[in-house]
Amino acid sequence: MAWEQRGKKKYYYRKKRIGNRVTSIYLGNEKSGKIPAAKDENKRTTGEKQKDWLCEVMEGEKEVDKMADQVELAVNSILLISGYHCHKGQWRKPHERNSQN
Amino acid sequence: MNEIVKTEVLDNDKERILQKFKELFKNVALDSPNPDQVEELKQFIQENQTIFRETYNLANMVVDNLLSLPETNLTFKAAIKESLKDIKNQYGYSYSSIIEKMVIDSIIVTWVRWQYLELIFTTTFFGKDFSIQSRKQYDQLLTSAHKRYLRSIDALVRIRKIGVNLQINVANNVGTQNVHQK
Repeated sequence: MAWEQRGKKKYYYRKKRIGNRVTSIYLGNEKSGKIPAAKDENKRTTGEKQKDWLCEVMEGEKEVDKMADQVELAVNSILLISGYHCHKGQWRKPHERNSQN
Repeated sequence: MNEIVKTEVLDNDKERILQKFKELFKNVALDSPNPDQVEELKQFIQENQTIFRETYNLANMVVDNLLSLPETNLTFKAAIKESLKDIKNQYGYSYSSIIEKMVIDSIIVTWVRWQYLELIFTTTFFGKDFSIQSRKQYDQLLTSAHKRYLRSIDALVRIRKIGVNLQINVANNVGTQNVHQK
Protein backbone atom coordinates (compact mmCIF):
# COMPACT_ATOMS: atom_id res chain seq x y z
CA MET A 1 0.00 0.00 0.00
CA ALA A 2 1.89 3.02 -1.22
CA TRP A 3 2.03 6.04 -3.39
CA GLU A 4 4.02 5.40 -6.57
CA GLN A 5 5.55 8.10 -8.71
CA ARG A 6 4.99 7.86 -12.51
CA GLY A 7 6.65 10.85 -14.11
CA LYS A 8 5.31 13.95 -12.42
CA LYS A 9 2.15 12.32 -11.04
CA LYS A 10 1.49 10.01 -8.09
CA TYR A 11 -0.81 7.05 -7.99
CA TYR A 12 -1.99 4.94 -5.07
CA TYR A 13 -1.64 1.14 -5.27
CA ARG A 14 -2.49 -1.65 -2.88
CA LYS A 15 -0.36 -4.81 -3.03
CA LYS A 16 -2.10 -8.14 -2.66
CA ARG A 17 -0.66 -11.64 -2.57
CA ILE A 18 -2.56 -14.18 -4.68
CA GLY A 19 -0.87 -17.57 -4.31
CA ASN A 20 2.83 -17.06 -5.03
CA ARG A 21 2.39 -13.80 -6.87
CA VAL A 22 2.03 -10.27 -5.57
CA THR A 23 -0.33 -8.13 -7.64
CA SER A 24 -0.83 -4.38 -7.54
CA ILE A 25 -4.35 -2.99 -7.40
CA TYR A 26 -4.79 0.55 -8.62
CA LEU A 27 -6.94 2.64 -6.24
CA GLY A 28 -6.62 6.20 -7.49
CA ASN A 29 -4.56 9.16 -8.56
CA GLU A 30 -3.44 12.13 -6.49
CA LYS A 31 -7.01 13.28 -5.90
CA SER A 32 -9.06 10.07 -5.80
CA GLY A 33 -6.35 8.03 -4.06
CA LYS A 34 -6.42 10.15 -0.93
CA ILE A 35 -9.49 8.47 0.58
CA PRO A 36 -8.25 4.85 0.26
CA ALA A 37 -4.81 6.02 1.50
CA ALA A 38 -6.41 7.59 4.57
CA LYS A 39 -8.47 4.41 5.19
CA ASP A 40 -5.36 2.23 4.98
CA GLU A 41 -3.43 4.55 7.29
CA ASN A 42 -6.29 4.50 9.78
CA LYS A 43 -6.40 0.69 9.65
CA ARG A 44 -2.67 0.51 10.25
CA THR A 45 -2.79 2.94 13.19
CA THR A 46 -5.77 1.14 14.74
CA GLY A 47 -3.99 -2.20 14.31
CA GLU A 48 -0.93 -0.83 16.06
CA LYS A 49 -3.02 0.59 18.91
CA GLN A 50 -4.78 -2.77 19.34
CA LYS A 51 -1.41 -4.52 19.38
CA ASP A 52 -0.06 -2.10 22.01
CA TRP A 53 -3.17 -2.53 24.13
CA LEU A 54 -2.94 -6.33 23.95
CA CYS A 55 0.72 -6.12 24.94
CA GLU A 56 -0.27 -4.10 28.01
CA VAL A 57 -2.89 -6.67 29.01
CA MET A 58 -0.38 -9.49 28.55
CA GLU A 59 2.13 -7.65 30.75
CA GLY A 60 -0.50 -7.62 33.49
CA GLU A 61 -0.94 -11.36 32.99
CA LYS A 62 2.75 -11.91 33.76
CA GLU A 63 2.34 -10.55 37.29
CA VAL A 64 -0.55 -12.89 38.03
CA ASP A 65 1.21 -15.83 36.37
CA LYS A 66 4.28 -15.20 38.53
CA MET A 67 2.20 -15.27 41.70
CA ALA A 68 0.26 -18.38 40.67
CA ASP A 69 3.50 -20.19 39.76
CA GLN A 70 5.08 -19.30 43.11
CA VAL A 71 2.08 -20.66 44.99
CA GLU A 72 2.08 -23.86 42.97
CA LEU A 73 5.82 -24.24 43.55
CA ALA A 74 5.36 -23.75 47.29
CA VAL A 75 2.49 -26.28 47.45
CA ASN A 76 4.37 -28.89 45.41
CA SER A 77 7.50 -28.40 47.55
CA ILE A 78 5.49 -29.04 50.69
CA LEU A 79 4.09 -32.20 49.14
CA LEU A 80 7.59 -33.34 48.18
CA ILE A 81 9.12 -32.77 51.61
CA SER A 82 6.11 -34.54 53.15
CA GLY A 83 7.14 -37.67 51.29
CA TYR A 84 4.80 -37.44 48.31
CA HIS A 85 5.83 -37.52 44.68
CA CYS A 86 4.01 -36.82 41.45
CA HIS A 87 3.48 -39.84 39.22
CA LYS A 88 1.54 -39.32 36.00
CA GLY A 89 -0.21 -36.28 37.43
CA GLN A 90 -1.18 -37.98 40.72
CA TRP A 91 0.43 -37.14 44.02
CA ARG A 92 1.06 -40.25 46.11
CA LYS A 93 3.44 -41.70 48.69
CA PRO A 94 5.93 -44.32 47.39
CA HIS A 95 4.96 -47.06 49.84
CA GLU A 96 1.15 -46.73 49.51
CA ARG A 97 0.84 -49.93 47.40
CA ASN A 98 2.99 -51.94 49.83
CA SER A 99 1.07 -50.80 52.91
CA GLN A 100 -2.22 -51.96 51.35
CA ASN A 101 -0.71 -55.50 50.94
CA MET B 1 20.11 7.27 45.96
CA ASN B 2 21.32 4.78 48.54
CA GLU B 3 17.75 3.69 49.24
CA ILE B 4 17.19 2.91 45.55
CA VAL B 5 20.35 0.80 45.48
CA LYS B 6 19.28 -0.95 48.69
CA THR B 7 15.86 -1.77 47.20
CA GLU B 8 17.49 -3.13 44.04
CA VAL B 9 19.83 -5.30 46.11
CA LEU B 10 16.84 -6.69 48.07
CA ASP B 11 14.94 -7.46 44.84
CA ASN B 12 17.99 -9.24 43.42
CA ASP B 13 18.24 -11.27 46.63
CA LYS B 14 14.59 -12.30 46.34
CA GLU B 15 15.13 -13.31 42.73
CA ARG B 16 18.19 -15.33 43.68
CA ILE B 17 16.32 -17.11 46.47
CA LEU B 18 13.44 -17.90 44.13
CA GLN B 19 15.81 -19.24 41.47
CA LYS B 20 17.56 -21.43 44.03
CA PHE B 21 14.15 -22.67 45.25
CA LYS B 22 13.16 -23.62 41.69
CA GLU B 23 16.45 -25.46 41.13
CA LEU B 24 16.11 -27.46 44.35
CA PHE B 25 12.51 -28.29 43.52
CA LYS B 26 13.49 -29.48 40.03
CA ASN B 27 16.09 -31.84 41.54
CA VAL B 28 13.51 -33.35 43.87
CA ALA B 29 10.48 -33.52 41.55
CA LEU B 30 11.24 -37.03 40.26
CA ASP B 31 9.61 -40.42 40.66
CA SER B 32 12.37 -41.53 43.06
CA PRO B 33 13.97 -38.43 44.54
CA ASN B 34 17.31 -38.55 46.29
CA PRO B 35 16.69 -38.31 50.09
CA ASP B 36 19.67 -35.96 50.48
CA GLN B 37 18.18 -33.56 47.98
CA VAL B 38 14.79 -33.74 49.72
CA GLU B 39 16.57 -32.87 52.96
CA GLU B 40 18.33 -29.99 51.23
CA LEU B 41 14.95 -28.63 50.03
CA LYS B 42 13.52 -28.99 53.54
CA GLN B 43 16.51 -27.12 54.97
CA PHE B 44 16.18 -24.41 52.36
CA ILE B 45 12.49 -23.86 53.18
CA GLN B 46 13.32 -23.70 56.89
CA GLU B 47 15.97 -21.07 56.27
CA ASN B 48 13.96 -19.02 53.78
CA GLN B 49 10.47 -18.79 55.15
CA THR B 50 10.23 -15.37 53.55
CA ILE B 51 9.18 -17.21 50.37
CA PHE B 52 5.81 -18.03 51.90
CA ARG B 53 5.49 -14.60 53.42
CA GLU B 54 6.32 -12.94 50.12
CA THR B 55 3.80 -15.08 48.23
CA TYR B 56 1.17 -14.31 50.86
CA ASN B 57 1.80 -10.56 50.52
CA LEU B 58 2.09 -10.72 46.73
CA ALA B 59 -1.46 -12.10 46.38
CA ASN B 60 -2.97 -9.21 48.36
CA MET B 61 -0.94 -6.71 46.36
CA VAL B 62 -2.02 -8.17 43.03
CA VAL B 63 -5.74 -7.98 44.02
CA ASP B 64 -5.33 -4.33 45.04
CA ASN B 65 -3.58 -3.54 41.76
CA LEU B 66 -6.26 -5.29 39.73
CA LEU B 67 -9.04 -3.36 41.43
CA SER B 68 -7.27 -0.05 40.82
CA LEU B 69 -7.02 -0.52 37.03
CA PRO B 70 -8.78 2.17 34.96
CA GLU B 71 -11.23 -0.19 33.24
CA THR B 72 -12.80 -1.22 36.56
CA ASN B 73 -15.74 0.95 37.54
CA LEU B 74 -17.29 1.34 40.99
CA THR B 75 -19.98 -1.27 40.35
CA PHE B 76 -17.40 -3.84 39.30
CA LYS B 77 -15.21 -3.12 42.34
CA ALA B 78 -18.15 -3.36 44.75
CA ALA B 79 -19.37 -6.61 43.16
CA ILE B 80 -15.87 -8.12 43.30
CA LYS B 81 -15.34 -7.15 46.96
CA GLU B 82 -18.64 -8.75 47.96
CA SER B 83 -17.84 -11.87 45.97
CA LEU B 84 -14.41 -12.10 47.60
CA LYS B 85 -16.06 -12.32 51.02
CA ASP B 86 -18.31 -15.13 49.77
CA ILE B 87 -15.37 -16.99 48.23
CA LYS B 88 -13.38 -16.74 51.47
CA ASN B 89 -16.33 -18.10 53.47
CA GLN B 90 -16.88 -20.86 50.95
CA TYR B 91 -13.30 -22.07 51.26
CA GLY B 92 -13.16 -21.63 55.03
CA TYR B 93 -10.46 -18.97 54.96
CA SER B 94 -10.76 -17.94 58.59
CA TYR B 95 -10.01 -21.40 60.00
CA SER B 96 -7.45 -22.52 57.42
CA SER B 97 -3.73 -23.01 57.97
CA ILE B 98 -1.29 -20.42 56.65
CA ILE B 99 -0.47 -22.56 53.59
CA GLU B 100 -4.16 -23.03 52.79
CA LYS B 101 -4.70 -19.28 53.18
CA MET B 102 -1.88 -18.67 50.71
CA VAL B 103 -3.52 -21.01 48.21
CA ILE B 104 -6.99 -19.48 48.78
CA ASP B 105 -5.46 -16.07 48.12
CA SER B 106 -4.07 -17.44 44.88
CA ILE B 107 -7.57 -18.67 43.95
CA ILE B 108 -8.94 -15.21 44.69
CA VAL B 109 -6.30 -13.44 42.59
CA THR B 110 -6.74 -15.73 39.60
CA TRP B 111 -10.54 -15.42 39.87
CA VAL B 112 -10.40 -11.60 40.03
CA ARG B 113 -8.06 -11.49 37.05
CA TRP B 114 -10.38 -13.78 35.08
CA GLN B 115 -13.39 -11.54 35.91
CA TYR B 116 -11.39 -8.47 34.88
CA LEU B 117 -10.50 -10.02 31.51
CA GLU B 118 -14.17 -10.96 30.97
CA LEU B 119 -15.15 -7.36 31.74
CA ILE B 120 -12.66 -6.00 29.22
CA PHE B 121 -13.93 -8.45 26.63
CA THR B 122 -17.52 -7.23 26.94
CA THR B 123 -16.68 -3.50 27.13
CA THR B 124 -13.85 -3.39 24.59
CA PHE B 125 -14.56 -5.94 21.91
CA PHE B 126 -18.32 -5.87 21.45
CA GLY B 127 -19.38 -3.63 18.58
CA LYS B 128 -15.80 -2.48 17.94
CA ASP B 129 -13.59 -2.98 14.92
CA PHE B 130 -10.99 -5.52 16.08
CA SER B 131 -9.08 -7.82 13.77
CA ILE B 132 -9.67 -11.57 13.91
CA GLN B 133 -6.07 -12.00 15.04
CA SER B 134 -6.61 -9.72 18.05
CA ARG B 135 -9.84 -11.48 18.98
CA LYS B 136 -8.14 -14.85 18.73
CA GLN B 137 -5.26 -13.69 20.94
CA TYR B 138 -7.67 -12.34 23.51
CA ASP B 139 -9.68 -15.56 23.48
CA GLN B 140 -6.45 -17.46 24.23
CA LEU B 141 -5.77 -15.07 27.13
CA LEU B 142 -9.23 -15.75 28.58
CA THR B 143 -8.74 -19.50 28.26
CA SER B 144 -5.36 -19.44 29.99
CA ALA B 145 -6.74 -17.21 32.78
CA HIS B 146 -9.54 -19.70 33.38
CA LYS B 147 -7.08 -22.63 33.39
CA ARG B 148 -4.91 -20.80 35.89
CA TYR B 149 -7.92 -20.34 38.17
CA LEU B 150 -8.72 -24.07 37.97
CA ARG B 151 -5.07 -24.95 38.74
CA SER B 152 -5.22 -22.85 41.92
CA ILE B 153 -8.32 -24.73 43.07
CA ASP B 154 -6.55 -27.98 42.28
CA ALA B 155 -3.62 -26.90 44.49
CA LEU B 156 -6.00 -26.34 47.42
CA VAL B 157 -7.60 -29.73 46.87
CA ARG B 158 -4.15 -31.37 46.91
CA ILE B 159 -3.12 -29.70 50.15
CA ARG B 160 -6.39 -30.51 51.91
CA LYS B 161 -6.63 -34.05 50.58
CA ILE B 162 -3.30 -35.16 51.98
CA GLY B 163 -3.93 -33.21 55.18
CA VAL B 164 -0.52 -31.59 55.47
CA ASN B 165 -0.35 -28.99 58.18
CA LEU B 166 2.87 -27.03 57.79
CA GLN B 167 3.46 -24.57 60.60
CA ILE B 168 5.03 -21.42 59.32
CA ASN B 169 5.61 -18.34 61.35
CA VAL B 170 4.63 -15.50 59.02
CA ALA B 171 4.87 -12.69 61.55
CA ASN B 172 8.45 -13.15 62.75
CA ASN B 173 11.70 -13.66 60.92
CA VAL B 174 12.57 -16.73 62.94
CA GLY B 175 10.17 -19.54 62.20
CA THR B 176 9.68 -23.20 62.89
CA GLN B 177 8.64 -25.87 60.50
CA ASN B 178 6.70 -28.91 61.64
CA VAL B 179 5.02 -31.14 59.15
CA HIS B 180 2.04 -32.75 60.77
CA GLN B 181 -0.01 -35.23 58.80
CA LYS B 182 -3.49 -36.42 59.54
